[in-house]
Amino acid sequence: CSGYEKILKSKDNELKYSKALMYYDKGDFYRASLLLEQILPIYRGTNRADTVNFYYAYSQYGQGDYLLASSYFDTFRKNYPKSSFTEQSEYLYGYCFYLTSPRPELDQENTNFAIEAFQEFLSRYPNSKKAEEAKNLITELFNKLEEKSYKSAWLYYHTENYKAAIVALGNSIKDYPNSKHREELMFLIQKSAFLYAENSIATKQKERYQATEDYYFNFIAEYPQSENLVEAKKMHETALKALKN
Amino acid sequence: QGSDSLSIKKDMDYATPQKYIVGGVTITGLRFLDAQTLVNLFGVDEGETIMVPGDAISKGIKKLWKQGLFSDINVVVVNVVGDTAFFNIDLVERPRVSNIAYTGVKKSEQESLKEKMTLRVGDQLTEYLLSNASNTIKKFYGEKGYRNVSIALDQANDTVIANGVRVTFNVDRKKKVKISEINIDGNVAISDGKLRRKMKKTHRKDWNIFKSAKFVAASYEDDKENIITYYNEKGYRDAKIVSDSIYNVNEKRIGINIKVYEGPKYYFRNISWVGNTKYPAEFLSAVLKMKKGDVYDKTLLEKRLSTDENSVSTLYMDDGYLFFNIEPTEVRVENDSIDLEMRIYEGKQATINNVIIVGNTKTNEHVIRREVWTKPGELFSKSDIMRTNRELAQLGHFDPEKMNVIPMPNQADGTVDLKYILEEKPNDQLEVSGGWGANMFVGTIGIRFTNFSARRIFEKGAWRPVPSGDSQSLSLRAQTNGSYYKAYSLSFVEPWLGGKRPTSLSVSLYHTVQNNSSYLYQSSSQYMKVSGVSVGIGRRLKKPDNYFTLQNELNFQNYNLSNWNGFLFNDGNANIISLKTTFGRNSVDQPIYPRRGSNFSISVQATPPYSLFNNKDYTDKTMPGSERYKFIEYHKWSFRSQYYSQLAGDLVLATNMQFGYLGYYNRDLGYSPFEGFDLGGDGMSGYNLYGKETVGLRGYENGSLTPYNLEKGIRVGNIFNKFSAEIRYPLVLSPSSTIYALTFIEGGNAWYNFTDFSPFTIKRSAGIGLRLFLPMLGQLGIDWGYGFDEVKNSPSAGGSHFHFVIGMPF
Repeated sequence: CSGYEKILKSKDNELKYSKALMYYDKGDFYRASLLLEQILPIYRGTNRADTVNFYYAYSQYGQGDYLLASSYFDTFRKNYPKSSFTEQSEYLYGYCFYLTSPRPELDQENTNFAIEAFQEFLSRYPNSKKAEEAKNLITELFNKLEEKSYKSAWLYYHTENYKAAIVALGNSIKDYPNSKHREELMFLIQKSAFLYAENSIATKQKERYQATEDYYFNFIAEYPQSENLVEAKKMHETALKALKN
Repeated sequence: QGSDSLSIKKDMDYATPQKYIVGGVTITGLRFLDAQTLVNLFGVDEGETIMVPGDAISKGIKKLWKQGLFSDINVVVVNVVGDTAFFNIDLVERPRVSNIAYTGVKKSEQESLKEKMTLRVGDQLTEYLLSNASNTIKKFYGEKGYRNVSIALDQANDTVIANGVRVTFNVDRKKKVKISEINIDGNVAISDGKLRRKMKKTHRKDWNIFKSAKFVAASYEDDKENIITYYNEKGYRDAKIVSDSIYNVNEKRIGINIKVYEGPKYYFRNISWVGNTKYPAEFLSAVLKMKKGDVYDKTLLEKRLSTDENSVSTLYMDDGYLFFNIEPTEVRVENDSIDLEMRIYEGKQATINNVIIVGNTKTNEHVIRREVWTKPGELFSKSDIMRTNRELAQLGHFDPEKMNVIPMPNQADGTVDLKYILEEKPNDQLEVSGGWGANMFVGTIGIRFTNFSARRIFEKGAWRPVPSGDSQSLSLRAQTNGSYYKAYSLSFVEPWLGGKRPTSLSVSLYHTVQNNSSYLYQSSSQYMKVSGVSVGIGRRLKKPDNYFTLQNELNFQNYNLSNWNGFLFNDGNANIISLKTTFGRNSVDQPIYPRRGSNFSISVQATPPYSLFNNKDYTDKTMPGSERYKFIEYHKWSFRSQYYSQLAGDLVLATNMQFGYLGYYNRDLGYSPFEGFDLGGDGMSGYNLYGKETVGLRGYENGSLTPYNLEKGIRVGNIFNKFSAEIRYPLVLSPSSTIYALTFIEGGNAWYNFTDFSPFTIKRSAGIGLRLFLPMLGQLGIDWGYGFDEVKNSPSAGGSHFHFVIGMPF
């Protein structure tokens, strides 16, 4: 341990460089990063600059500080576009955001950053060994956004804000047309519209029942086998009855 | 190498771009750096076809510049063979800063100065950066009142790092400069003194030591604006500052000369409205509340048109007219009268489409979204946005000073997306404390999580440090004196039970043991155990308005004694079963430093009237205590109101009124020995056997205003009232701490019998205090109060007292 302290205090940059690489290879990213940080300005503009910078970024990644690492990988890919580490940096840049992307209930800023980064990676390195993995991760992240949109809209339905639910559920379908919740979303729009009409004052009721009809027909046309069909039909019949009066 | 025919050295011709194959890139002029790395960085590769001049080369040059390592970069075509061109980059390396040091800068100032400095180790050394750095230092000290700072710069070559230069700033901050005089000239209608008072941060040095007399350039500019604004408010719309100058009085003092031009005082004459289709002119004039003959006050006009809560634009903005715009135009100026034409653009009504929430890195979205009043499909409304901000601030999870809402309108389809930007702040509280209570030292350890998530308890990775995000609050507390006294409590609140409606569920459990053991885990046959559980359901009401709440709470409490002295009886059980209903309204704008709004509640707590149907004869004086108090009975009424109003800026007046009454069903049984009131002192509830409610009254000793009943030999109040008024001024308002100073007057009293109650014979006091709110610790405070009135049989009760406050007493 005291040996490491000595290296830290030493003025011998070559020694620091070689020891940093040694710690890095051993997976001791904390020690490696402290040494690399010291020699970063020394090796700027030299043939070791890209190595030192990449290893430094990776040391942050290795220590689990993904947000810091992502910003270093970002700087790296911009500063050293021709380095042998560039492709890896571009991938890890996105991967850091992937790792910090939180559950759908929270702010999805990092999810969006990750998707953007992976898409950039794919357009730059379409034949990369990591391409397949990047594609899978994009899908996974996209599903998260889809889930968030669905949950936000569902909340309006759940809290009986039916007017808001109709708009929000509709927006969710518009934004994620291939959502795995599509069937439920369409059904809930009809149901929200129906409950909105049912709880309206008499003068507005007719017009609002009328509005449910479109949602009903859209739903049964797309999902004629839906398990919600019975309930949808029932609401449709009630609406029809109300409209006849 | 370029030998035979084409050995030209040709500068790039920017007139005729041409395609070339890159034959090679070389670098000259390097002393310390590596050529190959820089060629790679330049990004133009051998064999590549590029335009000369063109993008590829200029991009490469930019990248090299960005390194900050060179003072000159020159790219030259050195040779052209057929369609192949050879390039050379000629570089001049610049020395770099290898160390930055200061002399003459205090240690305490270094940290904050370093944060402001843009010069960093590794930067290229340029005159520009150095003079920039010097300016930063000058500005840093200028803001502290040192206007004559001199800086001498030392540069020395670094002996260790090649091409490095060690930079030292030798700072002499000289003496602090203060303003000794402010001379105002040219004013007739408004006095010098009044104008000087309108300067908020630029003051003369005088007796008031709280007013800083240092000169800060930015605040001085603001204060000149303030003078003009004040003139405008008084109808002098042409007022301006003709000239101003600063002169040295001596090396420690400066003076300021300001010359103003007042111009005439103007009045409103005719106000007309154009472009309004939604509301008639008369109605808008009534909302404006300004009429012919009023002083031409531009500030007030601006307020009435846009910023007031009941301004003209709010009227429109609450009804979806997001694109509403109003331009007051002076159509005629005659002598001192001005005709105004209000040019209105109403625009289309905008419907809310998406409501977007960002910045919630800890709190689940549904917890926030359910408090948002602006809902998709509804018309845009400014008031709803303000209400939402208030409610989100009330949650306590976000920094209220940093909340922001951005409307993103889509004119084409008449919709608007609203983006709520939040910033989480730490909100959990830890309590570790020790203190004297009931003649013993009691240690307390407690923790309170305000954003707990019970459903995530079993989720992998959720314990960081505890599952969070659902806005539930969980607090755990344990107290002991190390041997014979132990107390535990747990409470849990879910604000939206079932997630459908804001119906809150609260559960609390507590257990206290006192025995005669001499170490912590010794068991004993002599003990008093008090255990209780309470479950409450609270609802937000829709009527009379949706700030109202109704809370119902069922409590059960059991006293279990064995061979114990000092209670109503020695062996047996006493039980209290009560139902409490609280009706309240809370419209306080934010919890920690409220500026406006009110909070009132009225509650009734009652036990069943056992004595009416259990056929016991309570006149029987021989009845044992364990029989008499087997089931305690009482009814208890409380009322409390708090009102906050902004006096000016952040200066807030908080008024508070409180009343409480404990009644009995059966005359023979009389007042319950439980649940009375204890009045006086800091209001912190400490150890207390009979569940007495502690009510503070500063300037008097703790509990000293509680009447002593000679007949029963006990000290308890069954009825009390209290009034207080407090003026608060914040010193620090930030998420990491809130500090405010206060001054108060208050008064109150407590009586044993309802018949003695006389609401205006109160004990009065006044004083000052300080409150500090820290995220992990909650509120800490100290008050000094002086009690003016004498208390019977307790000569030391009033007079001068210091009170310490921990936690947030309601």
